[in-house]
Amino acid sequence: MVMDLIVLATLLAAGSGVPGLLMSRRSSVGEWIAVGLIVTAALMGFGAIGYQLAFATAPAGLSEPWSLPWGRFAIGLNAIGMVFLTPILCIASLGAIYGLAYWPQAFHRRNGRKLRLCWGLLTAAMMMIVVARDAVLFLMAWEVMGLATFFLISTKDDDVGATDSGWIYLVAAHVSVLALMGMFALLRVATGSFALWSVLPTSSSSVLATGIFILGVLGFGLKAGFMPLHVWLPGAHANAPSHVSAFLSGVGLAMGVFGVVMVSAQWATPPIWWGGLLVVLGAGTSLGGIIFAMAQSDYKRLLAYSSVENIGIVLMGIGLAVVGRAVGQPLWILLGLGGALLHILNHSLFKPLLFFGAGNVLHATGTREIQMLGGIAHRMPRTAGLMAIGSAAICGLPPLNGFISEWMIYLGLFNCAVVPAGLRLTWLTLAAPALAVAGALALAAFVKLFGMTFLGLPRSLHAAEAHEAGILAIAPMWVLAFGCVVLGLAPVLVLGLLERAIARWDAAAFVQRPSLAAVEPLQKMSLILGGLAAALLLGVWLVYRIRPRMAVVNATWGCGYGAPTSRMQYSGGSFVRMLTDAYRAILWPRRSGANVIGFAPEAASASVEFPDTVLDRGLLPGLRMVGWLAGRARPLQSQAVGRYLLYVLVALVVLLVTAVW
Amino acid sequence: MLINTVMHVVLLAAAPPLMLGLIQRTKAWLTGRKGPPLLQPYYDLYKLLRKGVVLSKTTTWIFRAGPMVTLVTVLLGGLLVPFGASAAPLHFKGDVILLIYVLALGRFFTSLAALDTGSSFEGMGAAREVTFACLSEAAIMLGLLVLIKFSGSLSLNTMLRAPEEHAFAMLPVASLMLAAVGMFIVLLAENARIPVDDPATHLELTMIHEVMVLDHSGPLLALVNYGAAVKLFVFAALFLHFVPPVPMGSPALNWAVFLAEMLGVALTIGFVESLMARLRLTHVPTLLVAASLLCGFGFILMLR
Repeated sequence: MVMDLIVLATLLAAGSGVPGLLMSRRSSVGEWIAVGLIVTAALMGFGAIGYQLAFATAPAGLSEPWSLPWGRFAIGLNAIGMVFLTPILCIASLGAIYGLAYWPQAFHRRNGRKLRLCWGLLTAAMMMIVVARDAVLFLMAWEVMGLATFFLISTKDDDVGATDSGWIYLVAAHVSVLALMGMFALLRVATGSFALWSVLPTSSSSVLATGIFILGVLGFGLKAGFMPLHVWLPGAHANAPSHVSAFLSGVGLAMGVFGVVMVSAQWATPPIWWGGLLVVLGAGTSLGGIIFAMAQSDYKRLLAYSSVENIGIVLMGIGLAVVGRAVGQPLWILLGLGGALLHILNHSLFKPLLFFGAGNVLHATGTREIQMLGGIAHRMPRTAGLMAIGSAAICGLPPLNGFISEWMIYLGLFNCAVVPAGLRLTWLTLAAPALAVAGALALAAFVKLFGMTFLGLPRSLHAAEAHEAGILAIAPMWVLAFGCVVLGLAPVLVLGLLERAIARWDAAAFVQRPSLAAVEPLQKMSLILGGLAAALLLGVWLVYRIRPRMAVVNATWGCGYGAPTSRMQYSGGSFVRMLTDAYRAILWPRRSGANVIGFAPEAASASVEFPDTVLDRGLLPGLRMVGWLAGRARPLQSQAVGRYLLYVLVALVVLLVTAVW
Repeated sequence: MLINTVMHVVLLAAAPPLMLGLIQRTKAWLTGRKGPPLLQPYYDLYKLLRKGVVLSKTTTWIFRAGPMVTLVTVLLGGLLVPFGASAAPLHFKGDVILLIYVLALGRFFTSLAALDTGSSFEGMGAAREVTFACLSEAAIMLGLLVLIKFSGSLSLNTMLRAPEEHAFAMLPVASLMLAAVGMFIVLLAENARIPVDDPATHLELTMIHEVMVLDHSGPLLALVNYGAAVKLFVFAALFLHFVPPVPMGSPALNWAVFLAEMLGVALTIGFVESLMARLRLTHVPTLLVAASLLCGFGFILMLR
């Protein structure tokens, strides 16, 4: 029953773009049908989750043979799957609604239908990934996800930036598939079947287990964007249509995290170093991601790098849980995995909120450059208010949702310093200061993003003539912002789901469903945060009453200067100048431009760019070098038949010698 | 218990401006001036509250919300930090994270309110504020880790008061001293005191906090100034827990000791401000990194 609903919902989602294909390019009926189908699919999915949570006693599953030579059509839904399925359904439908305003068929005749077809396919593929219980099915869904994502990123196929990012993504996605194929092959060696996600009987210290784990981290890490595997991510999220960026960033990355969560759960006691590796990787990913985010001048690239940071935070939590499982500390699992899963849910609320807001700004101004904007809060008050909520939430500020999940991960890390009886794992606690620095940098990045984009004076005509987005673009943002507030004040609403997921992840440690609320003072904190929210509202209301009574409205004080212009404002680049200088060894900025010398200098210009160090400084030059070497080897292919016969002969001799020897 | 809470709340609400007055008096005394009356900060607040407000045409709701949000956040922070050996009114396991992040919420809004004016001075101040916070936040976290490791507790109420509860011989004095120096530097930096910033001048080139609030006036400026005083008071109370303590006595004695210690902090800040010059802005990060390293070494010493 539950699985039938899921299968039906997947099919509906997959086919949601098809009716549009049969209609005229000018017709906008297709897009409404697509939204209707996606929303129906999401409601059915939520129905299945709700039924499973409320009534079912055993995990749901369905297994049918199929005509392929390998594997079966095996799917199942457990609590971990539900944690990941919820954001897929939620963002797929909200994003589709947003798309009605952002990418209407009427203005995008060339590619609107393609976008909606791939949107549905991507939704269905991600649903299938979460429920697949067979490696072949999983890989098929994974590949569909990769291809649909590629077409979505390069929706504007006449834009070089979009197509280039699309190609880089496609390569990364296929390296990921390659690694996953290797991993599933090794899994098959270990278990003798393609059935997925059971606890393996083999020892976790064997070479086989290590291989499975490393290949899994590599394959899923490429999707999730662990540094330095994040290379495809900034360009793709910056160049894709904004609601696609929201979907990919808020939910797509979580698919990689889902993989890591499931792979690491496959051994009763994993080695400690796996968890340590994940914590270190997570700390590096969050710090690296936010350092690059803070430097960006393109607000969508900034948001993309900030996703890298958030995935790093999630990874720290998972790593902590793996260590906890290795050394038998259920509290670490509870806080680490609980925090990580909650952060995935939170990230799927505030990141789409921010990308939708970014989409509104891009739509209204036509530029992605922070330096060109400013002051648009006056012209786009709703978008500005909602973006303020999203920015505060993503910085982990109380009383919003980001705080709760980061709080849990901090507590878990602190516990490493407090609990161990001769465990010698206190060093893990040092991830907490790293997280604190990442948090402070995130605050700098988002003060820059929000302050430079929405506040101050317009820096260009684009910004001065911005206009507010329509109700279809604003309404989904309201829903997401509401979610951020509710999860911040009442995390208890999702605790049950998280606890079930944790119990599923390590069934041996949690024979009974654990209780996060019993271990941690979540209720008391919710009360205090509620008080904080009430005090903030009351205070701001009091300050608001000042205006009519005794306010004088005048220009900003300009140091007595009579003709201030908007160009005299601090810019986004200067705002983070001290930080980008401090981290220049990592950022490796590309500066160009003239020095201004003398009393009456010529007109001069200067620019500074922050290319991705791994991609633009390492990978692409490296690949060009490979291409050059391959070019050098071209004479081997001389078109002369005699030469090829010689090669065959040499190969034969070599084979003979090895066979005899 | 109830008296404790009332005492805590009253002190938190009423005492912070007095601390500013004490610092000013100390500086005046050391430089041979008569100085303003001790209660001058209160008079200033009263004067500002009665005045009108000038709002910039550029600003939005954030400009007006900023000072109030900052004040609310530091007050909540003050309710989480125990004053001396007396318990804090609000406490739960993990409140240490809430303290750090609620102060970050205040910083978020102060910086945005500064950017809201569109003035480059205020932009400069906001940039410095968020930049230096990256360094001081690491120092605070490492400093608190010293006490977390020592006390085995994640609640400020228990971990901060652990030094008071243990015999002096059992204290990790070296770690505490290192962390105390680090935390004192953070106290000076976070509250815009010399050698990081100068609360007395309005020269924008080296300023952080003062320059962010240039456009606030009247009651809004009163909120800013009062919030800054409360923040200084809270950080001073936090810092005191790293100084090897006087053992706990009766409640009345505890409060007396706390007040005496706060007087000591005020005098120390006054001394530092009179004896030192402001650092060049580019040297501030070095100072803050030193603070982080001191706290970090303190933590490493705990790991034996």
